Amino acid sequence: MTIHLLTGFLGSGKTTAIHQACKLLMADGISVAVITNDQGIKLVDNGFFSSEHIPGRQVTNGCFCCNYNELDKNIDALINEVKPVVIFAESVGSCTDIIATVMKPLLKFRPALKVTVSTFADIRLLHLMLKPGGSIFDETVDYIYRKQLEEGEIIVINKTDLSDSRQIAEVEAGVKEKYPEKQLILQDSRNEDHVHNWLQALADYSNDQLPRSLSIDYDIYGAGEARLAWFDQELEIISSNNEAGTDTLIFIKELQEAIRLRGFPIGHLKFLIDGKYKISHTALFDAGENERISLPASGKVNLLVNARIETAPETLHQLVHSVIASVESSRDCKILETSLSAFQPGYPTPTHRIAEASI
Amino acid sequence: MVIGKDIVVSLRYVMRNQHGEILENTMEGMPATYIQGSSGILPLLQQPLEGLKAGDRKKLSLPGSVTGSGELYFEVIIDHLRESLPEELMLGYPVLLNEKKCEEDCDCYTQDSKK
Repeated sequence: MTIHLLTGFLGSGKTTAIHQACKLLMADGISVAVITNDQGIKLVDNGFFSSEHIPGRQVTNGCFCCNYNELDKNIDALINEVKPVVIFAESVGSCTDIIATVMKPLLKFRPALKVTVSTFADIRLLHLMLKPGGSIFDETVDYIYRKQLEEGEIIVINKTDLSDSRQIAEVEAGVKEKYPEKQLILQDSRNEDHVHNWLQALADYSNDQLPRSLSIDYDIYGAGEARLAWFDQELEIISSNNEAGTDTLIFIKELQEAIRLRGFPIGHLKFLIDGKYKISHTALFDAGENERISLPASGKVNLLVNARIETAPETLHQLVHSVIASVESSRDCKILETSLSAFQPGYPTPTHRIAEASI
Repeated sequence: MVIGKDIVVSLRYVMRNQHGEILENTMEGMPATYIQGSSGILPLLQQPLEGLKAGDRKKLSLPGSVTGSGELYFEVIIDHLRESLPEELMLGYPVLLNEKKCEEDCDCYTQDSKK
């Protein structure tokens, strides 16, 4: 049995290529199956695999590398159900380091398998990326994109039908120059001949010499996701002597100082008072700006804390708790937590990682 | 800003099957991001989201005839909305992460914090 792993960014055309390849192989009487890996709300359009009678399984809640056992279970299930000769496994767009974390573990734990890795790239995006200073990604996303290209033994430059001949030539030359040892395939995945050509390259591929595992910085890899952590909390500040506004400003200042003292990198920290007054982090540390903020006398203030900070939401929540306790003890007020929502995307933690050349 | 054509939508959701079992909960994962009107998620799921704003919630469902297996139910919360970039419209999918796209009046100080 062969497992063809596909990596490549969102929109690089992996699903279309797999769909076309499955149809071609099935027409030749070859038993196929598909394992997809994306967020469920996006995977549902893969229902068409089953409408075409292509057996499929899904791995959601994260990439193959961090859900290796789930991938493994799905492989077993497909073997039991349909005995596929070929399985296409399409990884989530933000995944990389797949040689060390998926390909090599598969070969180690299932020695009879053949495993290939193809990296897919949208030719129009590659064209943008190859221009000097042409990256349109956040730097951490850019890192993942380039690592995907770096590790693909076979790079499929896809959607050539959406490009002109000049653009195709420029991209081909650019990729060849950057990745001279890679096998490049120019492809329009709706073109049967093109997909046949890719399938032939996969058939010719051998696991006799294993590819190098990526040299990769997991901190950068994880940073793009970590930066998306957010924390929203609503508080009610109640004062028996109509000083809730002042209490609120003191709470904000103390919380900011506490965050600053701990050195958490802040992407975004905003406070919204009674749905009207916005306070940003920088403004609060500017004494002049601070003095310009004046709130009317009030017995009650609603405060929304909106933070994107590089730390676990639980840590931030504990910090908020300690500042609440501090302000309540120094001021004659009560601070109630009326709502809290937060999430922290997981740092990539592969089930297995084989960095060595051999398994 | 509300969801309309070419708006980049980030949403989080809980996905359940017809038995009410949770299949996926992105409250503890990455928000899903797509461009409204593109092929990022099924049009059947996009249409009911038209006109919603950040913070709004909506329940959606997909019949088994569409999923190819059982019915699916989604409880969606809109996390973030922004205009798409020309490059994103050309490609048909979003490429930038949310944190680069605060509101215009935001004093987001990522750069300052690195000084």
